[in-house]
Amino acid sequence: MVEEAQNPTDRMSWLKRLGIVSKYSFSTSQAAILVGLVVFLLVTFVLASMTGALWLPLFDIVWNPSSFDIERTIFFQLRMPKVLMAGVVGATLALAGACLQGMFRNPLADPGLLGVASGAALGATSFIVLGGYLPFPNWFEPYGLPVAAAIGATLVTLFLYAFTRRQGRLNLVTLILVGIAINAMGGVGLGLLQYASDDNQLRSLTFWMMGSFGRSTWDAIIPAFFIMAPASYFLLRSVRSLDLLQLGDGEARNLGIDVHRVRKSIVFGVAAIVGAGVAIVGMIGFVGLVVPHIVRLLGGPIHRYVIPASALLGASTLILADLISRTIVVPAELPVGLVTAFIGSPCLLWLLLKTRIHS
Amino acid sequence: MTLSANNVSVKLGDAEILKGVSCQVEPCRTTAVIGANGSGKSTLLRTLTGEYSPNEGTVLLDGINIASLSPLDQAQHRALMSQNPSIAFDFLVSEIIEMGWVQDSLPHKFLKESLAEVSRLCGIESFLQRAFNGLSGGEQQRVHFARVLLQIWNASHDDTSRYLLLDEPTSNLDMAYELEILKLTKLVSSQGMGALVVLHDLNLAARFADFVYLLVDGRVFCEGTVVEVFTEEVLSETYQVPIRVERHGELNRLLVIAN
Ligand SMILES: Nc1ncnc2c1ncn2[C@@H]1O[C@H](COP(=O)(O)OP(=O)(O)OP(=O)(O)O)[C@@H](O)[C@H]1O
Ligand SMILES: [Mg+2]
Repeated sequence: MVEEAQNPTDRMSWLKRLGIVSKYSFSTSQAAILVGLVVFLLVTFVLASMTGALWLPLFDIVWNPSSFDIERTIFFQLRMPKVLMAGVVGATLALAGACLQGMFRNPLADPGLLGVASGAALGATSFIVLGGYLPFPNWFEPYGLPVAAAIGATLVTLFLYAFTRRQGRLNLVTLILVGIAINAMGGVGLGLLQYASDDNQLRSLTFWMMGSFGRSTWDAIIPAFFIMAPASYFLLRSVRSLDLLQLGDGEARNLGIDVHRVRKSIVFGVAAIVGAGVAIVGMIGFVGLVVPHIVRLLGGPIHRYVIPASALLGASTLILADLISRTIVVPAELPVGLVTAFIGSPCLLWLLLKTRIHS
Repeated sequence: MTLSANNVSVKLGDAEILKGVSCQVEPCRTTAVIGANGSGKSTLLRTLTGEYSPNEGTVLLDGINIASLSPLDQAQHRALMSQNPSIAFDFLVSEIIEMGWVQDSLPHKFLKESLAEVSRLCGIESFLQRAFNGLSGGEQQRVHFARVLLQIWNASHDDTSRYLLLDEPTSNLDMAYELEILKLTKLVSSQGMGALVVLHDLNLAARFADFVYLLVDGRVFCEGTVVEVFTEEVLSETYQVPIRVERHGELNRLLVIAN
């Protein structure tokens, strides 16, 4: 018993009980990277909450609330939900990317490239333009947008799932082509809806195209959180299955994995978090692609490490991207999707070149 | 205590691939499956693991129909080594082997010990920390063998039965490692495991098998000990080429030579 208590995995027994970490421990370097990422996330969080159009002295606000009334209001009502949302969306996008890459056994899978985000955007847009005609109860109003987006994302992911059901693996060419096709169809849908919408709706719509945290208020965050939390939990539970899937569906089955159930929970989990994220901040590309890649370069491809590390790094990345978008052209704000695309698209190009050389 | 197929017929698509096959994998015994290309050997192994479900007949694992067992229950009692999958990500060799560990209820130290022991047996200790994708085909095959062995390694020394199914385990190996893997198979089966090995090299089969099933066209054409099955008439008819079978006096085993 004494010996077991000294074991690093047993110190994480609460994670074990949740089914997230089981018998398997992190290597020293992986543990160090994870700790480093937690620290990095805290630093970016504090930095981003203080910096912006107005400098907020965070520590004064906390210690001496009465004399910083305006600052406090700005902090809690404007800055904090934004930074929090950036963190949550970044974490979930990177998580979704890492899970899709594992499931399709392809390091280039990404919610944006595969059209999952398009599906979500189409769902959300349909709700904005057509939702007014449907008799929803009042309490459902804040949930309508994320749920519609999640439905759109689910449909696309289910299609992808059916498409790859035979061989289980999405090869590079198919992946890119299917992504182009789905994104094009999404584009047609969006175009039609734009055509059918009025001025007011059009302004809301434009916002999907680029992604921004402008609408991140507490009212929007809380419903999204209720969708994202359980979905993320399901994804975190599947870390070992994702490793075994790399050996092939048959092999994973021989090792005791219920392959169809795992794939289903990944499909719905990814669709739910991408849908909820897109509903609030619009389309933000490349986080799900680039972040897991960096994480794997740092500490290897074992999913019990890749999945939590991607979530942590994804959160800090998007918080930083949002910080850049808010501060680079003060007092105006760039859409954050533009910032991530600016950094991410060269990375994609580099990844494609590298993959070509390898295969 | 056996893993057995009882009169199983398996249809894939429209074609009936296995037609009323019965076979037993028994503990402490190395059983070989031989037969021409396309005779249904791999299909039989995949039926024994439950990947294909039979239209007729049953597969029993220690008397229990595998259709009523969960994948994990089965995984803890039998392991299959099939063709080597290619792997998209850069895993370390030790990580690949660790994927074989399915004994969730045992503490971490059993994993460490078993992993060390299995990799020592398979002679791959020296590349545990190397990237799997950087290994040669034969080295990769040995790593997969170690993974499969770890899956059913009796780490806690309990008295449950374990079965090792190998589909052409030696296809990429040089002569030395070919022998090595079959010797290892023999070793673990002598310690109580049941082993079923698909082999194309009849001389290897003649040397290592305690019992042989010869499949022809989805049926068991002939079964028995090596001496019973390896006759010139049976083999020549099966493979449609003239085959000579001779006993090597000094080695005291059968040699199979195509004319
Ligand atoms: N998924 C499938 N669908 C339809 N037919 C199949 C399928 N898999 C195998 N077959 C057919 O079943 C027959 C037996 O295949 P199997 O792979 O079991 O042969 P095998 O004895 O292992 O051959 P080899 O020595 O070449 O490995 C072959 O004729 C093959 O074409
Ligand atoms: Mg075969």
